[in-house]
Amino acid sequence: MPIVVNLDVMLAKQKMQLKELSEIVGVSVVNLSILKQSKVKAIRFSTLSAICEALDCQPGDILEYVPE
Amino acid sequence: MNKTPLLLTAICYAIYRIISYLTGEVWLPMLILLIPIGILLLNLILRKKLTYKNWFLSPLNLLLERKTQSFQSEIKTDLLYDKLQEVISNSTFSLLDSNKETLSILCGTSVNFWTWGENIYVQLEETNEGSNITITSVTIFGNTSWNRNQKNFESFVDSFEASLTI
Repeated sequence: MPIVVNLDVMLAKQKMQLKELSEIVGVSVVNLSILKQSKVKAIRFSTLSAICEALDCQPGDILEYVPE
Repeated sequence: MNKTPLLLTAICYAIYRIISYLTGEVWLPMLILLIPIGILLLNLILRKKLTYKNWFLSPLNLLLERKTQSFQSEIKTDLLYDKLQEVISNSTFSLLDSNKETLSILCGTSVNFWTWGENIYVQLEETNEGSNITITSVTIFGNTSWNRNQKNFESFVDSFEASLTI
């Protein structure tokens, strides 16, 4: 898929664990792990905004379009 | 209130009385009725454990109807195993048993007026692209599921697909 999720990069920048983000955002660790691997079908705006708020970043920092 | 056991008892008693009246025997009709009831009770006891998977999935068990279908996922088995347990917990199915070593999950539908419920056996296999998910839906009692096995598969896939929107 040409959309790459840079969640692990943002987590490393903020020195935050996936479990910690899961507790803040209210999304399970399993779902965040699947999101991190870009294997989800879609992401809700509410989830995206919660992640951006928790990681203090913009949607573009998390999602990146890489042409195949 | 679940009326199925009451209904079955009433039907069995009626059959018992008819056979007893026609044959004049007491033990013969009782035995005829006790065998299927015994199998039903046995299945209801065994259904909650993965250990007895072979009993339900054996083609020699002619009293049960089973349907096996597969679908693919890009998610690797170790993550998918946890994901599917989460999907089952949030769906109409109830998680009965699981085994991470064999990558097997057992869930089921509940008993209601129309059915004794079905067991759904989920088996994961690692592939080059991700995982292969094999689902076998099997009745607890009765050699026809009235298409419930197919509906269980569709419902399972729908729940899984819906859960991929985060």
